[in-house]
Amino acid sequence: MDCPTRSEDSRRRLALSVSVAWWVTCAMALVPAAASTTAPETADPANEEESVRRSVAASLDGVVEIDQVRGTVVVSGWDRPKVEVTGRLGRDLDSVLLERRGERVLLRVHESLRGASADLSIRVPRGARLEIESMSLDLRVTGVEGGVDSNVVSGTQRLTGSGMDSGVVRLETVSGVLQVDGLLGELVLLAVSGPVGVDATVRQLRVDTVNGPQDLRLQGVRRAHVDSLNGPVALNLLGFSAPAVVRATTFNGTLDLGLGAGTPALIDAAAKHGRIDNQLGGDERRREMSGYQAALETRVGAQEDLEEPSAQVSVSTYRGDILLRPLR
Amino acid sequence: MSKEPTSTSETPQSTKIRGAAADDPLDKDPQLALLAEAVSELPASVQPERDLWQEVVPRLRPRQRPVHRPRWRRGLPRLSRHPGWRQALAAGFGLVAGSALTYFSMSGPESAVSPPMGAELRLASSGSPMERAEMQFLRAKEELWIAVFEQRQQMSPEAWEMVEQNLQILDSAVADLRTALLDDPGNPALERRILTHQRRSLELLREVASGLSDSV
Repeated sequence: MDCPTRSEDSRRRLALSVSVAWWVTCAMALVPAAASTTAPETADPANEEESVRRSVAASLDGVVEIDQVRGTVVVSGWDRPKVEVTGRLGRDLDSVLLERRGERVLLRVHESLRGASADLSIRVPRGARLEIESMSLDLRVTGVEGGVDSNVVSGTQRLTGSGMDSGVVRLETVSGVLQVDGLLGELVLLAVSGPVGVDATVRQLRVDTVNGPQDLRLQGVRRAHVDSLNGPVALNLLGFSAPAVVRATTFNGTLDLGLGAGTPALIDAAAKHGRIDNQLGGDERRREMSGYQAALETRVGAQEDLEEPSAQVSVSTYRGDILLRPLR
Repeated sequence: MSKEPTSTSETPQSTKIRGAAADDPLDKDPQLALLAEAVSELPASVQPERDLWQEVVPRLRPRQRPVHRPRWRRGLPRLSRHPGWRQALAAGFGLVAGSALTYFSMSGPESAVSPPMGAELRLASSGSPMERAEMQFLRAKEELWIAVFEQRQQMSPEAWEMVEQNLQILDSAVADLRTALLDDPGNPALERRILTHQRRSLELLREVASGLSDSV
């Protein structure tokens, strides 16, 4: 009687084991299928990253055009007649166009508005000129001497100038950040709400913002024109390339002018509805300007007695205040 | 405020002014020199590139509505190239529901940025050179905005949000400049900057339209 009972128990255990194994197998088969239907991103090629390494021959002083690339791009100059692109892409390699058209090399990532982005390092001939158009890009440029013309709607654009004889650098943004340092011949920075920062030796400078703050620290400047509507302007002049002409205006924003010790300059300041705080001293004279609440002129620096100062600095505001102070 | 700022970087605009007709009364008025400079930019700024324009024009004609391309037809080629496209098709049912929700939520009349209708156009409808120039910008902007808005489903939600936000920033900047101009009427630097920022709105929309035509 015992043997049949044990045998029956064994059969029951075997049937139970088979049943459990069956359901486990089914569950294991179903889980990936369920995952594949509930996680659409696994089927989305936008999330598949691929590495890219491409190059194309280029003129040493041609134009490199970077168009519609989203993500992060680091551009650096080198001495080879070649453009080389390395990095990662959020889509398949077919979405990248890198080709030479005469003196121009074009790099473009298709379907960037659909979400395709890239994380690229680009080597270009040192003498090339960069032309960049993008909706959203974090850009870093170093060692490019042929000039830069970049219009990036949002994102951070950082550039290190390579020399006073380099081509014109023009960076434009709406809400992005502009940051420049190094040596530059001519620099143009246009922003709407993003901040602008310059710490550079630059011969000619033009900066225009509406609401973004400006923090400028300049040496060797010959001509500078700085405008802001509402954003505050901190303009620190460490030295000039004589004869220099510097003009800065704000409408509502405060204007803070710092001058390097011993830097000779003729400064005139005018505030229509604001105040002027002159901590520079110098040979100060009040100016009578119709409709202006405060206006003054002062000569400072080692050449105070000279009739021809090495720099003329003009600062004015409509509703903001002006601070004139020595740099320490 | 300085009325006539000199710029180290405005030679291209100055060149255009010198190229204007000699009998243009604006050229004889130094107060309007910078304004004329901005107005002279208009044709080049408003006209999109030829390729883009060919894409945009059919969408601007109210009686020639573009043939609607069903979403499933746009998606198919990409799925068929995908190695596991049959499995992806199953997952696609879920996506369709999500896409439909997104489509209907974005198809409503509400949008963070509205085309420059009504008050803006009325503001720019009087006769001064500045206002006439601004009206041209606003009309061109409205046309491009409609073209882009109709194709917004081709953009990722993040890209569309970024475009809307930055157009808002530009609109807000123009509003701030207009407020300043009320304080200091006739300031040519402010007038020029209003036109500059209208132009930048236009360029942003044109860039988006160009990107959309590229991805079709």
